[in-house]
Amino acid sequence: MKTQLKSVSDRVFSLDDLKPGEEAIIAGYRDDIADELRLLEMGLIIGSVVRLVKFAPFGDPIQIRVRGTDLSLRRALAKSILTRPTHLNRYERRN
Amino acid sequence: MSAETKIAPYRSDVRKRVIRVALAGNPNSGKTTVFNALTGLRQKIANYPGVTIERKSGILTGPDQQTFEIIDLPGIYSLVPKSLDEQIAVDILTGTCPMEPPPDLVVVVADVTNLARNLYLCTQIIDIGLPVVLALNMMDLARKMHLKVNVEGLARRLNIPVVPISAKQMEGLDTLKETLFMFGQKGANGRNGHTILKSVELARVCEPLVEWFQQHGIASPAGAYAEALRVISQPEVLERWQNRNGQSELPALVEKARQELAERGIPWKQAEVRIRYAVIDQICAQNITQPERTGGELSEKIDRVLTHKYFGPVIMFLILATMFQSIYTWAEVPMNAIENGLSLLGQQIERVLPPGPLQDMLVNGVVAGVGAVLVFLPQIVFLFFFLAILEDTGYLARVAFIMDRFMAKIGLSGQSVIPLLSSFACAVPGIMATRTIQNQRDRLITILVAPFMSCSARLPVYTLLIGAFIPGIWFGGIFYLPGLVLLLMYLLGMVAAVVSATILQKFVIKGQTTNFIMELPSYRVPVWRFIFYRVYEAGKAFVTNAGKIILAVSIVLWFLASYPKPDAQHVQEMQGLAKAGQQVDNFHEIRQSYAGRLGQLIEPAIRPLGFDWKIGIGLITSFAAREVIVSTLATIYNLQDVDETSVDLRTALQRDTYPDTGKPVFTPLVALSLMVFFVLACQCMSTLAIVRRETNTWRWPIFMFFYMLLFAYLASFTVFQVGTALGFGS
Ligand SMILES: Nc1nc2c(ncn2[C@@H]2O[C@H](COP(=O)(O)OP(=O)(O)OP(=O)(O)O)[C@@H](O)[C@H]2O)c(=O)[nH]1
Repeated sequence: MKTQLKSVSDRVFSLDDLKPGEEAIIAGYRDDIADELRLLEMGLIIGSVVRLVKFAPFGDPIQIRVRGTDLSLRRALAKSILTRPTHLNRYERRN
Repeated sequence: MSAETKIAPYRSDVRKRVIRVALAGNPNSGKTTVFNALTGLRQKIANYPGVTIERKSGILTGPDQQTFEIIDLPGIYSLVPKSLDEQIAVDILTGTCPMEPPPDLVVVVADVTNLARNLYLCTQIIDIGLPVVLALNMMDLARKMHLKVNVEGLARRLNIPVVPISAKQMEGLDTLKETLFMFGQKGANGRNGHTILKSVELARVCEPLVEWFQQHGIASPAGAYAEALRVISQPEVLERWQNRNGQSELPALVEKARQELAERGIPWKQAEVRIRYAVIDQICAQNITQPERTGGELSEKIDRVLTHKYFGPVIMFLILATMFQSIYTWAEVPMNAIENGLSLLGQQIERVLPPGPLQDMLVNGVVAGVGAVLVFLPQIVFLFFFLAILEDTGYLARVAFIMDRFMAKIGLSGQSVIPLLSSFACAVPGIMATRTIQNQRDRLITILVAPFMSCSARLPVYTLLIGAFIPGIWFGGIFYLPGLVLLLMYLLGMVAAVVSATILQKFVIKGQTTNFIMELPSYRVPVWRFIFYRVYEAGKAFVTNAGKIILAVSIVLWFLASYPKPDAQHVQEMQGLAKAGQQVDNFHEIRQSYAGRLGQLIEPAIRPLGFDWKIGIGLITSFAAREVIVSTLATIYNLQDVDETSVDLRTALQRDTYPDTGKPVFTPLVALSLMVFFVLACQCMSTLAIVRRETNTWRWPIFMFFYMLLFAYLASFTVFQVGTALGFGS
């Protein structure tokens, strides 16, 4: 996973670094992530487009939209989800 | 289907057999709605033995009187369970549940507006070899969103019957029923273990494993592919095979497949997800035409206000305040009506039956017990009415979203907020409301701390004691001491809940803290029919389960307080003494009842808290409901028609002295200690009965009772002893 990220590593952000309304592509998960499988099953797989819809009024959790569904995730978890800007790879966006 | 249809002999055994149909699907896909539509009110709700999870089933009768048992499984995202309720659903489907064999047929209810994720589960179930019917739900929404689905294409590709429905609008349900009936008559047709996984190039990495599995007992290609994916992604599965088969080339094959995946940049843990989604994305691309981004737009607009940084919390506060205010005021009317009705009934019984033990038992035991049960119903009905609306509209998830920040600090999630808030009115509906908490661990902790919230039954106790013993001093013209003490009691309950939640997570209910991943459903207009179902179900569950226990305990408590009757000779003796102007024991009658004896029995234990045996009786009888201590004290002090605000009762308390020392029984410190005890102890049989019902075991109510008792005892002990040491004792 690391090698895969290296090429774009300077452009990789945590999911919770996005601004409200901003879209990105899921690039991978940090090794320490909990509940990785559940996130994957819910469609947060590498290459999926994810949008940070908003932060909750008190700053945590966050609301994201992936594959047409809105999910609430805590920031601690979102920190372990890596994303990269959508313009880097238009091909994968369609997947 | 006409009645004359000839029945072939070979089918006769099938006809008698009940065909078990499981409804499976993602949470929020509409399973329960489909379930209700298929079974109507012919439902049976039970619990799986030993766990808190409900088993909901209902009957659907086909033509030829064939019976279908429809089982509503807990919502799942995949066959890899993350929690206890998911575990049960998965175990049933995979045939590893000791309590329930796998179903004959699975109806996968899928939200068509989110088909990819729903197909993930659906293809997994197909692959384990169960006959599946796919019900594409929410077709009405799909139409609104201009989403086009090629139903035949899907059916062909998945090789299963696919039925488009809209459970909420009752559309397509007849076709779904017919599909079930067809299955009942013909069995699954054309299932040949065909797998869809093969169609993506990536799945080739599985092939050596598929071959191996086919040589080792998994004949169907679908099953073999599915097992290959599992064995690559889940170390436990590999271990299981190794234990079963001993030495084999399996580990080497798995290793090779994992390496091949790594070369393509796919971590082996993601093998199943990546390959399945690759297939599913392909299927969706071929069979669904999604217009440019729609859906969720209206919801997003609504959310712009309802989860707005500043408006959001304010609106939430207003909504919840209105809701609880209405529950409070609306419930009061029927509660009073129930009380009045029952007291009329009591009077009627007194008129019809001659005075005696039977009359006494009926009036003060049975009728009072029925009253104790019924008095909860209005609150339960109103709370569940609002709760169902909040949940069905999608707002409940927003409350959790807004409040999660705070609840996360004590290891719970935003979903615990409403149950805990409800518990300020009454822990019984509050505990019932924990059903909306997905995570079983969070749910149990919430149940166990909910009774610490100061409920409305504690208020009369606080009112009486504060009124009688806390002087009405103003501090600086702003703070009023009685008000401060009352506030302190509410805060104490909340602090106790927070502390207990922390303690319970550390030592009692360990389990892993799952990250709080919650779906935020789109806003929807609620369906009144289903709201009615929810209210009805909640009321029924309370009366039929908890009600029995409450009634039985009421009768026992009545017995303890009324027996044994003082014998006539003793009464005369006392009256004689009183006439002669001698010192008499005012409390002789209550003293020798069983309750009185119990009070005296526990007196040594409660003396260090500052309580005498009469308070001890109050502690015992208030087990029926906390406010009963007020009427018990009134009985003890021989007062009629008094309540917590009566001056008579206050005076009686203030005047009572210990016969040996002449010191007052009640001091402000004793009152404080007693209030603290009432904040913390689980003095409420109804709470214990509902915990029994909701957790499906006596273990938790018993634990709760002793845990809270210990908490209360230690706190009251500290208050009284420290207070006495500091010189506040008199
Ligand atoms: N528009 C629309 N809404 C539906 C339809 N079917 C169900 N719903 C709504 O979807 C929501 C979820 O439905 P449920 O039946 O509670 O879903 P479930 O799968 O049982 O959910 P869990 O109980 O969480 O597992 C409810 O608000 C329903 O009113 C449908 O066909 N169309």
